[in-house]
Amino acid sequence: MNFSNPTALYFLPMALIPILIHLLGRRTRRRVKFPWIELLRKASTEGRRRRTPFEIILLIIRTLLILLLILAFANPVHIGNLKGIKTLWVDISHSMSPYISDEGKFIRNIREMIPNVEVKFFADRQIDVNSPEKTYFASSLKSLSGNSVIFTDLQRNMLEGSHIKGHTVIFVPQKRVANRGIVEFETDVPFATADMPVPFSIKVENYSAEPWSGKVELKNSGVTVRGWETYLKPWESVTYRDTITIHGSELEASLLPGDELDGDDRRFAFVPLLSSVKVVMNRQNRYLSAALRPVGIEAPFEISVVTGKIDYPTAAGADVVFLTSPLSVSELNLAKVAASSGKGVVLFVGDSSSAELIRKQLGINIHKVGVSSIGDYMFYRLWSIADGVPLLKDDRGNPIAAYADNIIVCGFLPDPSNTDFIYSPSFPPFVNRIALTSLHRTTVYYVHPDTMLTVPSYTTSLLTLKLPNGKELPITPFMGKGGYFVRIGPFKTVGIYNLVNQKDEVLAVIVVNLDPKESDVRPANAHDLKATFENYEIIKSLEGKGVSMRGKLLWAALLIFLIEVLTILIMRIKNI
Amino acid sequence: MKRTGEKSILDPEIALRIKRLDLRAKLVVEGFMVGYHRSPYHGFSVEFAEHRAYTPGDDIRWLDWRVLARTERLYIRKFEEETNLRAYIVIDTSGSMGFENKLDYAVTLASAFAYILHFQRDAFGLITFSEGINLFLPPHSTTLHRRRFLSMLQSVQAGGKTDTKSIFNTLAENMKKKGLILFLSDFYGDTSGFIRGLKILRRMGNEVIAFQIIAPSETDLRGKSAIFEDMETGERLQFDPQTMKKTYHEILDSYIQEVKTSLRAGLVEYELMTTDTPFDIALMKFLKKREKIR
Repeated sequence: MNFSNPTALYFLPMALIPILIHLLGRRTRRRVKFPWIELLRKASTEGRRRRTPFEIILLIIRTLLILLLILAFANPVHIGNLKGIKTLWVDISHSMSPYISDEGKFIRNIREMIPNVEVKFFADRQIDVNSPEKTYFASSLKSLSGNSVIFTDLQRNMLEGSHIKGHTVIFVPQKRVANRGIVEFETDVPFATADMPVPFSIKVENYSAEPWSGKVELKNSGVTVRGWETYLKPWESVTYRDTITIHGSELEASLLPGDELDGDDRRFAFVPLLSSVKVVMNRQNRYLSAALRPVGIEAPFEISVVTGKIDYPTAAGADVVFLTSPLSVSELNLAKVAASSGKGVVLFVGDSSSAELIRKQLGINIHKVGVSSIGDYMFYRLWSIADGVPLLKDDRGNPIAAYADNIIVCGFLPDPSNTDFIYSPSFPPFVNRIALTSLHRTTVYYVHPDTMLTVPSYTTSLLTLKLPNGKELPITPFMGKGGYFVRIGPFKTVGIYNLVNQKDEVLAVIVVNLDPKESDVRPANAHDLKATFENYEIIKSLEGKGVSMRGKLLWAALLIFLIEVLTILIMRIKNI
Repeated sequence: MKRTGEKSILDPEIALRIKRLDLRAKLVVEGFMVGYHRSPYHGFSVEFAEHRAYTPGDDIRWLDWRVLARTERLYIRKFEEETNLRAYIVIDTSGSMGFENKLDYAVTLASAFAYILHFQRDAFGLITFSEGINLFLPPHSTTLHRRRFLSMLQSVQAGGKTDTKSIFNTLAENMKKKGLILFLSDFYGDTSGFIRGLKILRRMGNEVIAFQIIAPSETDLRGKSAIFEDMETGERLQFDPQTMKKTYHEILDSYIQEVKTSLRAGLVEYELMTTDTPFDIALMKFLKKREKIR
């Protein structure tokens, strides 16, 4: 039991007031001369005999009434079966920040509730819920005697499959982190020509308690093309929709003033401005053919395909070279030359011998992707060629789609029957992913901070997760179905996390952001949790420390009051 | 609101404002007589005894004019000096009668009785008592006696405990002839002693009228809890009129009823008088009893 307004407990002695009044009322000093007190004595004896039980009842009732009112004012909160809890696991992932703004204060509050409790935080550490060891999290709880409590706004997959029955999970309903900034900036066309109207939408949200006023600007290649004076009330959002003709691929939506609360004050969109592209392929590849024939989209640029023997002059004159395995050594050298000349070379590798050759010759690890991703890679290459400028910048302002070696090596899992899905018109949202993939030659994951992410690992060696703040966290891969994996998350802060091997090669890039639309993982909801755990309790606020009992106490006080009224009525009726 | 001018002299509130007791008694009796259509004075209470020859110096008022007319002789009418009624007015002056104006009320009533008795040539005596007999005035019917009577009443003060034995012993010793006893008391202290004594007096052939005098505030307790101190014994009791009022009423009513029943069972006339009860009620009771005695 705890009280959200404990100072009210200082008034508890007030509950003795009825008793004091009763006692003091008897001890009056006033004296009255009376002719004969014998009758008074008889009346007193008789009256006391009749009244005493009722007086005791009334005293109890009144004392109880005051007690209940004081307790209601103190607002006790019930926190379930927390007594005897030894360990408290506290989720301090970013999404919990509305509840745990001050960790020190939070711990103090917890210890007021449960003295001597050991408070453990989880957020940055690896929590392996799907491991054969019944998860790190669950096994830690199992190792404890007695009950354990978990405070979290759990994501669906975070505790999926874990075995923590018998422990108390206090679920904090997800409260959206205060956010102000641009939450959406989208263009609806994959390409554009010089005179083509490009529709776009910019959504600005003020998800905070403070109003916001400023200007929303749209720039195209550094030149301001639109501007909106904007005033947003608290919890209000606005979406600007329009069309523009672009003179460069880069579109930037920004807020003035910048540096907005937990949101983006700048967002970029890329609409490739294309004219013509010369593509050279070493042989006909049905995947590539499908990829070059966009479904439902008329490519606004010219594609000339040269097949057959590709010599150096041909390669040098091409904008992009697609090479499909099996590759000869000369073709690999060709790729090298093409890359060094600044032309794009995309190698599609479908066999392990070629992959090994590429790895040895070029020193590049091959990352296997599904056939549906081929189109993405290829179009990224086309865009970057057409635009000729870096597509993205990282949070330090460095270009992240640089053409350092101009070679993209794509392995793919053979899936000939899936050719209809080689190319999907929905690729534009993955531009960022492709750009980062190009830079790091690996997969990029866009995730919500509370995500528990499973990343394939080609090695069993110890890996390192580089945090945005520069710290490093060692992670050991585990064996799962189909290979080795690591699990990462949830993430304490937004930013870019790099999973690197011992050679400091990036195996995965994890972009942690708060926009659920850009998250690969759906946030969990209460229903998911309710279905998962037996001991389930919703507590509205951790810092409020439980479920308020004020309402129940006030009802009890009302009931007691009615009993008092009834008792007095009985006394009146019975002439007592 | 009732104006003072509308109140009768029979109203104790008015009557008790008159300080002189003889005047107060006279006014009360005369006020009573205005509304009483028959004269309260029933004939000469002095009985004719014999004639004797007139001798110079005799008061010519007592000449028998009829004999003179018939015989032309002067005879003086001689009368029996004693009256046919001896009344004792007994007043309880114990401490409890000092509560509010109970004693004043009793004294006024007693003096009014005396006033009427005097005009009827009845002999009336006075006894006041508390722990013992305080005043004893044997019955006579003279004007001088009446003055003494009123003078003694004027000086009566309440105090002391109640001792019923001494009063009833004294009365029994002095009541050699049957008479009327007007007993004015609140009956507090030794209620059973009062009842027993009055019954004995009644059995001795006396007519007894008991007036129980209590103050209205004794029945209608008000105020908050207080220490009540017995005016006779000095005993103290914590009592809360607010909470015990109803119970007290029940007990008081029961007590009064018991006194009334017991006395009437012993053929003693009983009348409860609160000090705001007009005097005519008591006087009427008295006169009716007096008529019966004749």
